[in-house]
Amino acid sequence: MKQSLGRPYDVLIVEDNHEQANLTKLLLERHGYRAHYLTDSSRAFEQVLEDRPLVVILDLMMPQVDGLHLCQQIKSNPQTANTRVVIYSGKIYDSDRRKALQLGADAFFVKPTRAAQLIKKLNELLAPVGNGAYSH
Amino acid sequence: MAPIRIKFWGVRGSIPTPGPRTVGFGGNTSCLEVQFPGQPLFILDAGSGIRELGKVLLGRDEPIHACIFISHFHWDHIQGLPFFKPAFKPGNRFDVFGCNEPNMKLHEIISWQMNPTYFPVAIEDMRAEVAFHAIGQQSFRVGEVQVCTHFLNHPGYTLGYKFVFNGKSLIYMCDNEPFLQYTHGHTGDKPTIDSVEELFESFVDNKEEALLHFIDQADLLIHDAQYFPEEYKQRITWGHSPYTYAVELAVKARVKQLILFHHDPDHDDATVERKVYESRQLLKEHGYEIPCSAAREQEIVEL
Repeated sequence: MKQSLGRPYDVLIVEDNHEQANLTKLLLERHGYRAHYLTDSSRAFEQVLEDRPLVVILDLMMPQVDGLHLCQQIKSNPQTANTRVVIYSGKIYDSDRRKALQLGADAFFVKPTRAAQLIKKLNELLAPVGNGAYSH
Repeated sequence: MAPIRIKFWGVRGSIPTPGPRTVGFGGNTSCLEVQFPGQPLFILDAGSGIRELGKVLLGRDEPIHACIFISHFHWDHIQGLPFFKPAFKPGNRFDVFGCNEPNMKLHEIISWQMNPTYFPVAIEDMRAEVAFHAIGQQSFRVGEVQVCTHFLNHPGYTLGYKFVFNGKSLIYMCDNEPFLQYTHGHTGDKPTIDSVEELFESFVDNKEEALLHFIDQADLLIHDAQYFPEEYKQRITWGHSPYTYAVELAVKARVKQLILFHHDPDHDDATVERKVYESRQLLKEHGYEIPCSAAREQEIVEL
């Protein structure tokens, strides 16, 4: 079971497709994570700052703020830099994957991916080290 | 009111391809001139074709005010800008629209190709007034023209543009690949699904629906049609479309005219002609016979 440390949820999903977002949330909940989603990416960074989720799952192509800009915001702000970022996008290009990883993304999955692979990666990213701290 | 006038100055994808085998459709890379009556000049992309456009504009007596809309920053869409002479003439004004990258602003991206390592003249040497406007997927007005943008399926940030003026709409989607290349196996009849995992794995985030809404019933769709279907099979993830996809979008969105764009550098004139012929045949098969042609340098289309 994942550790919550008082935060309202563990994983924030930022995805403009409501159905995709809800399915991802249900999947994560089934595997013991507390998840929340936003379909309006313009509020996402503010929400990350406020709620400090352990992981943010980002779509790339979103109308308000795209996933790469959000990734950069999260990873370049000292208050949120340790937040794990997982890109989950329909974009399949290696250059987008490289760019996301350069900006600090911790993982990149192309839609649709195997549920087990996503969960395995989340478990790895959140593997606890010592007293509730999380590995890098 | 006078019609909207669209002139093609560059129609080729990837790299300029001069020479006798491409002289019919032209070898310059992407650049269109669009004149909405009574509005500033619109220029779509700044591939090598913009150089010739610049020479014509220099011949005008009055100062030039133009808006340059950049789809994305691959070379074939910006490589002509350093050779665009009106930008070096005081008194002219250019508004450049395009995306910021997460770690680089629009003006920095444009300036980089004029770094002394690559080009001997700096962007600071442009004596015209040049203003940069960072945009994403959004809607805004330039004069009386409504401009809407939509992210396309192409490596990096790539914008499709919709321009609406006086009830007419023009769509420019120069570099775009079908969204569902790898998911056809998931789009048919769904198996009986009894777990969240299966639902998650079978769900197709079909961004094409939003794209069709963006294109819906446009008066003119100018769309990437770089490949034949058999070529595309070998070039999935290169960011471009077979002509069949351009036709499919045109039919589904009920557009009124289709122009095939971004011709492959390896396609000679006869090959482009064959692409047009096959596209028209396909439209006929769909029972949707709209005007369909291939973009050709120097050709003018009026809406």
